[in-house]
Amino acid sequence: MAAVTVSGSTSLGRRLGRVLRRRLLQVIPTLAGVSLVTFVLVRLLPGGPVQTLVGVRATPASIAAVSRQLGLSRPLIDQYISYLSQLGHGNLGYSFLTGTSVTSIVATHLVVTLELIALAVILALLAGIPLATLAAYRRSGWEDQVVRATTVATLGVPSFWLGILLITYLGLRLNWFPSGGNGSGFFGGLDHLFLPALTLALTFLAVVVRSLRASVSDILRTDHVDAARLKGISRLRVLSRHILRVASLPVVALVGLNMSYLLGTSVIVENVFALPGMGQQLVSAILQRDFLVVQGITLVFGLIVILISIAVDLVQAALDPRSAG
Amino acid sequence: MTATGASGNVARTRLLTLSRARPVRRVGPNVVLVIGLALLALMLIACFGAPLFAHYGPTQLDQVAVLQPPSSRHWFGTDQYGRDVFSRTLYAGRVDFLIGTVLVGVALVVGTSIGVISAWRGGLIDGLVQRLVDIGFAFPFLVLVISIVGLRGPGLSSLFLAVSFVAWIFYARLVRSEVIVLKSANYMLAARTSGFSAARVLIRHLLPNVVNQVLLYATSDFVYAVLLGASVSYLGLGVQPPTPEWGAMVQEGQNFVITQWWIAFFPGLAIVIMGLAFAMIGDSLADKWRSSGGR
Repeated sequence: MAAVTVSGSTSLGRRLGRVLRRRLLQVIPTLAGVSLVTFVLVRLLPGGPVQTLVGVRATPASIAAVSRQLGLSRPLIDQYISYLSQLGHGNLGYSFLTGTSVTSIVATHLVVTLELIALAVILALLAGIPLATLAAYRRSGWEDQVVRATTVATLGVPSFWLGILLITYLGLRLNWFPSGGNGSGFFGGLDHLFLPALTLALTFLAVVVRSLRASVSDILRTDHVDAARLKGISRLRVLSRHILRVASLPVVALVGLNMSYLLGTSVIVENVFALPGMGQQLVSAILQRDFLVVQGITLVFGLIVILISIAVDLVQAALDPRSAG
Repeated sequence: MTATGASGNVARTRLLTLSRARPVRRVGPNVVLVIGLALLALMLIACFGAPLFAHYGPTQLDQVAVLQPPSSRHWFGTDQYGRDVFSRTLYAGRVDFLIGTVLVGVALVVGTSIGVISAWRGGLIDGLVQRLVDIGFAFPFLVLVISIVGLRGPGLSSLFLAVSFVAWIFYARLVRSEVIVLKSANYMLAARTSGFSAARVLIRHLLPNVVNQVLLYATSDFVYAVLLGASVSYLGLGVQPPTPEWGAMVQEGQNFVITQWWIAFFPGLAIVIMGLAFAMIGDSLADKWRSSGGR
């Protein structure tokens, strides 16, 4: 390992391959745990899954029959192993109500959620990076105080309430944006996605500004920035080449670390705006007590977080050879 | 040159370099702390002393005064059943503060204990705890809570159960990393080699140095806990009607928001103000502890 870092001549591909291998190995116990959690989840149902399926008026005989049919009378460890092998074949279970496979539900609705989060992150960074840079440059000046006070004030704003306010004022009163549902085509989709993404972005903005302000002011105090300034490089160039480029690492880390938060909040936002993403599917499955769909979607959310954390590590390794280790 | 002269010089040069940054006299952390605490106290008094301020019961129906705008009779207006939104907002605060206290309390006590034990004992226990924490962090917190609540059946007890399952991991990770650093500090070594009992070392020497970090985290966590309770209730999975709760009230008012904005607006505003109070308290405490040079 040490020899590789010292030589410094490893190609990008090899470096990323090494990070990927290491991360994939680390992820195996977590994956096992995640599947175990979702497996246990369904067994938390009051009265067990069968009771939920056949209803309160079920006879002991019908309960036993359904149990046998679903393989629920076998030992737990057998059930878990067959659950794992199903997962291995890409089978996340079926909806009891419609018979649709969870895999196909995920396939149609995951895109909406990912688009929502991507647009929200873009909006949050578009607003957050300039605000954080301004605050860091004018540290302790009034600009800094205003930015800090505003971000502190928005920490407790509930996403669902903000969403409703945005629908009311920007969507319905001013009629700037559609207030719910899903549009057709790329721009139709974007149009419908804007208000939900703005809601998500605004709840994320405080975190972005807070953490980037700290990163940028740390970078401002480093020697290489002083050196660049002393060389007489223009302020804009110092900012873009010597500060923001270095700050791209904390930005990537920030987005990666907050992916759980963004995914969680997207569930609420999708339900406010009736946006047909994974979160809306999750809540409607819960309300219909379609528990295998709940189980499958929960598992997929876990997988997304794990995959994104690996992706973040890869991007960081690509941006900064030192982090590849 | 005397020592004082030298330090005076240093101070003057620092003043010169800083003058370009146009420093503004910052509002001291103490002022922010006092405002935050006052705001919080005001809310607590209003919510828990609700019968003194609210002239109507939180579930008192009034068929004659349905969907009334805010007025001197009904400060925050009335909802579709003629219930007074002001009363409901105050009474809802009791439920939300209860949710915040229970969720943070359980997570703090359980998480801190697990974190201390995990870091202190190390080995197999630590490995196991670490894996559990990893698994917990692999799920979006809200998704896991919603799923557990949804499968257990809606209601406060399911919410408390779901969060107790998951939320301790945040405290465990924080405390574990703190304890691992502190474990090798000289005064800890001194305490351990003095032959004190493990309990005494942990409680008298270790905990006081961890507690500030944990409390600081808990002040922001309280806001998240209330937001979580409100979000779950907004989705119809938490507090059930007719019990007032801020998130559930926003949900009930959502359909009227174009014409009767006040039904959904005021409960949401209550959450924002509570969040503001805690953010001010947390921020100023962080400032104070940072400037006092330590934990």
